[in-house]
Amino acid sequence: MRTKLRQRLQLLLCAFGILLWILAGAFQFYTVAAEELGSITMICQTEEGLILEGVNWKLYRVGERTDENELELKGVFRRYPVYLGNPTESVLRDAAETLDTYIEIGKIEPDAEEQADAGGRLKFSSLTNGLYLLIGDHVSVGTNTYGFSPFLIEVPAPDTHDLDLIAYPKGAAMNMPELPVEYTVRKFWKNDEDMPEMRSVSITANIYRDGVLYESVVLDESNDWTYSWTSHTFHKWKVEEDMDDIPVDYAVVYKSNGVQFVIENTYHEDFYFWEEESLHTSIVETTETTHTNTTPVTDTSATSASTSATQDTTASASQTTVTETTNTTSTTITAVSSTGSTTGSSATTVTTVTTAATTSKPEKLPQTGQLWWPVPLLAVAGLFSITAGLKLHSKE
Amino acid sequence: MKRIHAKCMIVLGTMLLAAALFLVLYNLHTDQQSGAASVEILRELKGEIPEYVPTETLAESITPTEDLYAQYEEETTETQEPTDPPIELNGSLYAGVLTIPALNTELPVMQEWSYANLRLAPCRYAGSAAAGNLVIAAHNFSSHFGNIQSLNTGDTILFTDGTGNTHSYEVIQTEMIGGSDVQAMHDGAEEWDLTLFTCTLSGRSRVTVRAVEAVQ
Repeated sequence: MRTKLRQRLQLLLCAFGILLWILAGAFQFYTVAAEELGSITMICQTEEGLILEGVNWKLYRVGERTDENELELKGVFRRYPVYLGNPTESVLRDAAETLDTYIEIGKIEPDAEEQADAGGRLKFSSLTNGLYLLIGDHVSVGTNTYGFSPFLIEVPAPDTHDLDLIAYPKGAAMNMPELPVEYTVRKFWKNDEDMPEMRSVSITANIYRDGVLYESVVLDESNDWTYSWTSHTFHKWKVEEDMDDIPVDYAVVYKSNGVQFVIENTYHEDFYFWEEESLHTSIVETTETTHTNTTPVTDTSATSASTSATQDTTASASQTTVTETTNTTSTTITAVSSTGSTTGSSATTVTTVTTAATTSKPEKLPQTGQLWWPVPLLAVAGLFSITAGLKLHSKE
Repeated sequence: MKRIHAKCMIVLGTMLLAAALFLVLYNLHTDQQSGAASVEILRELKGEIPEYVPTETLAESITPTEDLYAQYEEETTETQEPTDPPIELNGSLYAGVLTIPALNTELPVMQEWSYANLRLAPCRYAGSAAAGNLVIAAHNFSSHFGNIQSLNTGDTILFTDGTGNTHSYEVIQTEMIGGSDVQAMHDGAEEWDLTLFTCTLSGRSRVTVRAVEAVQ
């Protein structure tokens, strides 16, 4: 009797547990479903106002606001040393261009992709709160080709909290350079002028041609952190900086105008990227064409990134795993799922050098006089001696 | 015995006079040689100095292209003291040409000072015309700075830098500075834009001429 009662009790408890689990799941679903979703509408045109049809845009959810109300890279993008600490317009522009490069080389799949219609309009809908990167493809109209700069946009807008945003990216005409093309990569250190000992002695830049390692070069003081090479045919060039050379507390910015590559490392006191395990590979990419600044014009609520309410979001990214192994540097890039585990080489070597030159002033001013002072002395002494000699001689 | 002493004194006196004469001749010869060297250098240097083009005109003449490195170079130059671009001539660097109309003197100015360079021409001792703290040293040869002590307040001094830009100065004072008083040579840099100095005949002090750039 007691045994039957115990079995019934166990069954009841089990059923109650299942009910609780179902209810919890339903509540979670309700919570997610209740979050308001946003959208980004884009209208593509040239700087002259010509509507650009058929532009393909890729959307990546790259980050979100933390509980401390700071922008932070998320998911697969956590591994990149990109600074978002003080999200001014220029910081966001640099971050967008740098992330674009990482995406290109890491072959990271977009979360969504849309094409502009006949009116140059396209829309990304059902967007959870977060920081989004938008990358537009080139588009040809007649004999002209137009390109767009990548840009970051936060949903909801940080100042107005609008969920439905409108952006007006402007395409700029791209020009083919004349052959042969001279390319230059140059390394810049920023924000550390008073502490050069923080910098690496040298960095290695790996130059890729059409995805294959073409040349590895060392940039340091001896070559003014610059290297140039010439191409007699058109190729797709990429320049990779070895991440092991990037000192702690330094963020990376990559820029290119098609023929000039910039590798910029900026010191930030509040940059905590290197406290986390990271993937040590960075790449600058360019195509054969040059393009001018194509910073998109968005409505005011879309460009600025100031304060906004932090909301818990579920990652909308559908990350896939991409692996790229370079044959000479043995660097493996492994994109991972949004659960956050990261693999890859992470050894950080920091070599320091002191370049402060000391100069000391001489103890004396230069001697700029001819030897005149002995002349009167010699002359007087000589005359005196001759006079005295003549007197003695006359007395004799 | 006295005769021998007398002869010795006459010989010694003659030797001393000969030494004095030799020193005078040597100094005059060096002076003449340095003057001739300066004239030769000046002739070649003038041919190397380009016609001055104001910065604004230069900027307009350059085709506007997006140079990614320009912004970094601007940031670098902002933190550095402006310098005068030197001109290379026969393996040596020259800062420009110094003209002192009151002394009827025109001389090349070498970019870096050394005793070997000072024998050829006046040398930039410190600073630059662009930064407004140029200090030029020269020997007291009559063909170099031997007569700068006679400059008066208000006299004009001209310095043409490596870009062809001519800076015009006005003498504000002449002073004596001790040969080992390096700090005094640099002091008061906010009050003057150009300093010329050379040794006194004794070599113990420096005749120092201070000048300010005239407002164009």
